[in-house]
This record gives sequence, structure tokens and C-alpha cells, in this order.
Amino acid sequence: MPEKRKQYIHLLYGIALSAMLAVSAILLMVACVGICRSGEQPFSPESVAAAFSPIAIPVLCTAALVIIGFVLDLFLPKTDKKTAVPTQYSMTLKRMRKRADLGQADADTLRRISAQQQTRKLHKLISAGLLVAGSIVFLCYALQKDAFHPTQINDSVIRAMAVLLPCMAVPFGYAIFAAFHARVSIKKEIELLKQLPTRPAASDEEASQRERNTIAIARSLLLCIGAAALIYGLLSGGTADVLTKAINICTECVGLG
Amino acid sequence: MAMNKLKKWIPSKRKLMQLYFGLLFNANLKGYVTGNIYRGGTKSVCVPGMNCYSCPGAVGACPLGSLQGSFSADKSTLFYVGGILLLYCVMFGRLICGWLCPFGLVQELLYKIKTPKLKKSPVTRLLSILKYILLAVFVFLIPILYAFKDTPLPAFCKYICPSGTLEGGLGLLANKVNESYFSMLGPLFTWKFLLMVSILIGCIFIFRLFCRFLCPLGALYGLFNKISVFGIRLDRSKCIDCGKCISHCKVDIRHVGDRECVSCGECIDVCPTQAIKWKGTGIFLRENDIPKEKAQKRRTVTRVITAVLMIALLAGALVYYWNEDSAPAAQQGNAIGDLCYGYDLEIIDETGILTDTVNPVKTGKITIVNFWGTWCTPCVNELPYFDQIAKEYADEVTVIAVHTHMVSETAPPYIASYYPNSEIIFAKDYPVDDTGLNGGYYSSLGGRGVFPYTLVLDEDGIIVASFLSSVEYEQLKEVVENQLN
Repeated sequence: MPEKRKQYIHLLYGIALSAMLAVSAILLMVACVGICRSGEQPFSPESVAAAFSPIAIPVLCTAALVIIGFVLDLFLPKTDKKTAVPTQYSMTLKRMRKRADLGQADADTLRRISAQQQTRKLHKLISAGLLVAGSIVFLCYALQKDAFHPTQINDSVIRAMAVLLPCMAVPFGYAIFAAFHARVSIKKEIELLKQLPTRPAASDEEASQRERNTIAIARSLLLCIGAAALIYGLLSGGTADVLTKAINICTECVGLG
Repeated sequence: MAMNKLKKWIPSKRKLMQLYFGLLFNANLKGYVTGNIYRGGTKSVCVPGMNCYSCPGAVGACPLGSLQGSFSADKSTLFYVGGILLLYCVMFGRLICGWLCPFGLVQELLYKIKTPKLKKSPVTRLLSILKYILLAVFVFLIPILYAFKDTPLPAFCKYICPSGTLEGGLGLLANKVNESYFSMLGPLFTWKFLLMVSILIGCIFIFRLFCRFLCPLGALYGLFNKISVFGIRLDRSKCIDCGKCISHCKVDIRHVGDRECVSCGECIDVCPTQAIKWKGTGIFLRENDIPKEKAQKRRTVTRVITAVLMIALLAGALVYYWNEDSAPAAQQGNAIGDLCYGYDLEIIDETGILTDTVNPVKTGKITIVNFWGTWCTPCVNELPYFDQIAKEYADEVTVIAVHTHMVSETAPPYIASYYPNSEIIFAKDYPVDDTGLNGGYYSSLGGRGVFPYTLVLDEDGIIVASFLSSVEYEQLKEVVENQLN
């Protein structure tokens, strides 16, 4: 079969399966919400099965499509196209910075390179600042006396999420904008660095050795702390509470209750 | 040609390891048949990956659930769980995510379904920070704040964890024996079920969606990726910054071995200068010390011995847990209409265990028997209702709150703080084994690990009502009023 026809079949199949998955998921969610809001209590396997039976056909069709997909892949496999490796701009920048001889750059080029670096630094600072500010606002709310009430746990957590969402949405939103802008900035800096002559890459063996030593010390220290804590916990009977929780069904953890 | 087609269906070494550990951590296959969770001693050990301890097959404890629970337990528990987690972090880092986590395996299998896929981008890299927020808020902040109010709350497990819903919730509900658990379904289950379905469907389109964006355990392990003993490392002296490793990788790494790297090892083959290596292999074999042929032979022997030991361990575990009977048998007569099994339970108060006893069947009044624990959030939340009933119907009703699993002596101080002058009679369940952790009376009355559990008896000790999980004040009042009339 011609390759182009295979690609077309696979594309159509992918679209059909994605659509069936979306439809099944939506129907499943609507059925769940319907069961919950029906007010019928207590639930039984029969009542739940009766509520889900209308969506059985779309779900079975989806399952059948999934199986068809694997069979399709077995008998009509797509040929893996050798695509070019997508450019990793940050890696390219890193490589070019190591090689570019900045000593031979004119003042204007250096100024423009510096401007791009400052722009990205500013974006990082603003994102970090917004994240810190959002965290402080949320902590101020969370540490209030009645923010988390022991008998109204669900309501307390929902209210806390209503506060947390905007606190995190703002820094995230800015960070996404900054990421796209940073990509443009990196491309500009790469173009500027391309104009400069290259020099042999300097060896940073000493820095690598220092880094390896630091890692080894940190690793040994943390292993000792972990082992000491574990031994202390074991000898003090810390396993009993873990066992108590583990041998009983945490009904909340599995959504029951 | 057919062989070539079938070859790509043969699972890789990593997939086999994931399947192996998935089975090892859920070796209690009998649990899927009987519908009961395993209640033996190995559950005091935290497994490294996300594996809900309420799963019928689970033989170990979930590290995340244990960590959240330790904040409201004795400090020795925090040291124990903290120590285990720190050792896992430093030894393996996110190698656990790539090779040992059962939920990671589920996500990778779902990703194999042939649909268009969402590739990684700067946006997905940013979204990976979300899991650190979940770690800080749901694993640390909320459980710690509630621990100060003497209310144990595993917030991540309760509101988010899809592993718990899939393995524990659906694992239990799927068994006909647990039909009565359907009565516990409510808005919380609806929310968790919808969240689980969304995540699983999302995993079909996005590689390891939960691991990359939502898993707090992965977030914790990722912080130690750079210093972990085992994992992936980059030899900078050979690296030419071509970026092929990053392009090939399906997760949001900035460089090999960073906090997002799950150490799957798929970048090793694409590196043109072989700059990417496994960390920790030098512990077992220093290649430069011996000739190449001898090293190869030694490597083969090591692999064979390791494989044999691992298969033996798994086989042994499966046989052991199949034959192990950790749940004590229920006595006859636990249904509504039966005469309740009686036992002289030791009374406890704010000072400790007293010499007096109380038998729920011999009070001569309507008796409400509630099984609870200071470690159980719904139990602690509904005690005020029992206190109110005990006060309102002091002459007609006896309320006995039986503290099961008397560990860490937490009940007396709790009673002293919150119920110093209560009409409730607090009692202690008797142990059935040396650990003291299996409640004999609770099990005798049909308790299978679900808390709280409430029985209402009439004046003659006949069971007139039974409540699995939480009960509201109005429900209790209705039952009491019916009995009085």
C-alpha cells in the first residue's frame, strides 16, 4: 500500500479514536454527576450499573477502536520518518556562548547581547517575585485561625483552593508569556553570537571536580541523616502508626465516605 | 518480517522491571479474590512508588500517605517515614518513577494507545512546577495545619490521588463482597472518580501526565536527582551540547539528570558521543580494573544471579501472601436482628486504662457501639454527634466509643482535651495478636478495616442498625427515637 495512503488511514483513525475517547469521557462524567445529584441514597451496584448502562455502547466502541489501532499498527505500520532534530535553542545558545570570542565583539554587539540577557533575567525576576508574592498571600490566608476548620474540612479546603488559584494563576500566566518572549530573545542572541569569531572551548575540569566533591559530601551526609532517622524511628516504635493506617481502609483516600 | 513486527511488542527491560515491581508491591493476589486488604506486618514498610495501601493487593504502605499521616502521629513515626523517604530520595531519586512505580507503568501503557500526542513545550515545562505546589500545599501545609488541631488529614490522598481511587476504590468496589461500600459513595467519590478519569484519559494524549504535572512524590524525588547514587548522569567532558538527548526525551528535561528526568535511559542510545551513562554501576563493577572479556563474563553471571534471585523473591512473595491469613474470622451473628457478640471491654479515660470494664450487650439500655481511632479523620469528626446523643438521652442510651488499635497511647490525651466530661464511655479493643494492632472485638463484629463502624443494639443486645463509615447526628437520633417508641 502506498505510504501516503497509510498515513491518511492512520490520521483518520487517530481523529476517530480521539473523538470517541472525548465523547465517552464526557458521557461518563455526565453520568457520574447525574448519579451524585440524583439524591438517591444509599447507592447499590445495581443502581450504579443502571445509571452507567446508557454509556456502555460508546465505551465499548472506544475499546474496540483501541484494539483496532493495535491491529492496524501490526499490519499497516507507519514508516518512521527521519525528521530533523528540532532545535533546542537553549542548548544552541549554551554551545555558542562557549565558542564565541566576546573579546573580539564591538561595543554595539556586546550591548545588544547584554540587553537580551537582561530581558530574560528581568522576566525570571518578575516571575519569581509574583510566585513569592502569591505564596505569601496564600500563606497569610492559610495561617489565619479559622482558615481550616476541623469539622468543616471540605468547605475549608474548597475555600483555600479558591484563594490559591488566583495566587498561582498570575505567576503562571506571566511565566508562560515570559517563556515565549524568552525564546524570541534567545533566537536574537544566537543570531548576534553567530556574527562573532569562535575560540577553542575552555576546559572546566576543576569546576567539575569541585562539583563532584560537593555532591559526594551532600550524598554521604544525607544518607547518614536518613539512616539515623530511620533507626531512631524503628527503635522508638514509629512503625506502629504506619501499620495502623496501612492495615485499615482509608476510606477517604479511596473516595469512600 | 512478521518477526520484526512482533519484536516491537516484546517488552523492554524497563517495562519488565515495572511489571515486576508492580506485581511485587501488590503480591497479595488473594485480596482481589476475597475483597479484603492485607493486614499483616509487611504493611509497616513503605514501598518506594505510588501504591495505595487500601488496594486489595498492596503488601506495603504508600510513602505519601504515611508521610501525611505521620504529621498527626507520634514524632517517632515522622522520623521513621522521613528516614525511609530520605534514603529512597538519595539512593534512587526519580529512578523510582521510571522503573519502580506501578502508576507510572499504567500511564505509559495508556500512552501506547494510538492517538495524536501532545508534544512537550515551554508551557509543559512550566506546568511541571504545579507538582511542587501540590507537594507544598496538600502534602505538607494542610496536613500539618490540621495536625495542630488534632485532626489527621491526608489531604493529597483524600482530594487528589488517582492511584488511590483506581487501585483502592475501584479495586474494592469491583468485588461483590464489598457491595455494602456502595452506600459510602457520595460527592467525594464523584470528584475523585472524575479526576481519575480525566487524568487517565489525559495520559493517552500526554506522556506521563500525572508524573510530570501532578505527582508530589515525583516532585520530592526530583529534588534529589542530581545527588542520587543511582540514575542517569552526563559526562560533560564528552558532551557536545547537540541537544539530541533533550529532543528525544518525552519529559520536560532541560538537561539529562535534572529534576524532571525519570532516568528511563532512552537518551543513552541517541547520544552520539556516549556522554550519557548510568550512575552507580561502578559500585558493582569497575571496568578498568579487569580485562574486557572477563568483565563481560562477570557481568553476565551477575545478571543471571540477579534475575534468579528476583524471580525467587517474587514467587516466594506470591506464595506467602496467598497462604497468609491476616484477617481474623468474624464471629457468627453480626447482621441486623442477630444477638450481638458480647465482650468485657476495658474502659479508658483521660488518665489511661481503668480496671473497670463494660459489656455492650449487658447495659440494659439502648447501646450505640462506635469503633473509632484518633488516627482516623471521619471518626474524630463524628464523635461530637455521639457526645450529643449521649448527653440528650443519658437515661435511655449508652454510647460506647471503642478505640481500636491503641497505639502511641493517643486516646487518653485526646479524651482529656476534647471530651473531659463526656457521657460517652470510652473503651479499648482487645488485641488478637502480638502487635496489639488488630482489634479483636471489631473483627468479631464483622469489621474488615473500614472506620468508623457503628452498631446500635436494643436493650436485649439485638443489633437493630449498622453503619459502615461516617454517620450523621440525624441518622443516630432517628434510630434512637425509633427504638424508644
